Amino acid sequence: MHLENTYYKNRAEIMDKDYYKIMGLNQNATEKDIKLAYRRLARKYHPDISKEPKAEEHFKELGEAYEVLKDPAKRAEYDQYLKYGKANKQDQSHQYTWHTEQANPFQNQGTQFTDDFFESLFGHSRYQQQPMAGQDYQGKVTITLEEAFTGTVKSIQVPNEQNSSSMQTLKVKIPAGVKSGQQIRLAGQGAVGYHGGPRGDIYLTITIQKHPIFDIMDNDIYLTLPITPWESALGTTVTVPTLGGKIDLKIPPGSQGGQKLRLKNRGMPGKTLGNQYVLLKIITPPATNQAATELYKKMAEVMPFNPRDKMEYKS
Amino acid sequence: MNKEILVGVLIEDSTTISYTEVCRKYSIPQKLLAEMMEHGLFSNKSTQIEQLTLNQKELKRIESAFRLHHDLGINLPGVVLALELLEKIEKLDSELSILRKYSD
Repeated sequence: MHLENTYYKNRAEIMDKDYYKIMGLNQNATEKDIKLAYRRLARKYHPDISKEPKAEEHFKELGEAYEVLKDPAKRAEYDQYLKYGKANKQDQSHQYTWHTEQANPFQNQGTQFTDDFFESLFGHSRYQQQPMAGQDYQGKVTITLEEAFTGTVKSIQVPNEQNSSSMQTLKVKIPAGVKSGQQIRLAGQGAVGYHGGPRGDIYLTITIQKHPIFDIMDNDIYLTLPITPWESALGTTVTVPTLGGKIDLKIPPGSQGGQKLRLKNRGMPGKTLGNQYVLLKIITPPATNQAATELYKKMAEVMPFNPRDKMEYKS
Repeated sequence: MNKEILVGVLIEDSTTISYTEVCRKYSIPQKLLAEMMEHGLFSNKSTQIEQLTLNQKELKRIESAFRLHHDLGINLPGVVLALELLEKIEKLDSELSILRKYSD
């Protein structure tokens, strides 16, 4: 369910795309307009730059649109198609194009949509005789931080090996301690080879979702822990959450806000165990009644303290 | 329908790949990769380019570098600069996320 099918596209869906709309242009756009729009949007949506969740999808669409619109001949064909061709699209709607890294310069086996698209329009076809490994499928799996900690099993959708016009579901084990950006290789689960060549592989790239209370840096987990002024001054033991469950943390007397306490080996599992770091944050309760106000006044009397005395300027 | 649970191979960050394998895998000329290296794409650990091995992080940098070079027409020094800045931003983003939770 979590595989974002950015690489797998249905031909009918492609045929329905409005390349002008994708590029933010109208049909009167000049070649220069097209080039400028491409450059601007390519920088915006480049998957290596953009943090937008759909950046890769946008970028691929943009590449497809530009491939067609930058070439006057292809653009003319496309304009013709827009005018007359849409009525006939059902003829081809059962065919699919699986293309992997279309924008990837080192992809040498991926089906290039645009070539294929125009070949199909013109009725040509490429023919290759020698055995060739099947295409690798690339996909993404998004998991929670808890799932990354414990490991999990995820269902992904890949093209069916017998009939590539339908999808099949594969269950994949995601090992504990996996990091964002890491890849899992499923050997021999990619597309069927050509002319007796071996099947391709599946590469799944893991993304770990942001967590509401924990942060992760390398193998280490960070948590902000609110404590009271008296807990920080006198020391105490508090129960803190970790990914492995709740544990008791001893806060030493005289602790300060912003101080970082380490829970050794309570971070992410893996070859080297991570730590959990607890950032202390002192929350001062407001003086909501007379007694509390008196108490604060008393504190000011009993322990005069100027936290600003190290500042260069004095008020 | 395939109901069994597939166990893949987790590609560890420490898994290395040789320089020549990188060129073969991505169909890039050795000379171009050597040029990227001269611009500081990754540290040159060996004077013998053929003996060089690259870890996953370096491999990802190479992939990003060639994508940026190809897709956006950025020249090699520009690509290396962009990657260094992007990595810095990523690190700052993680630190910022921790600090945001602290200051909330």
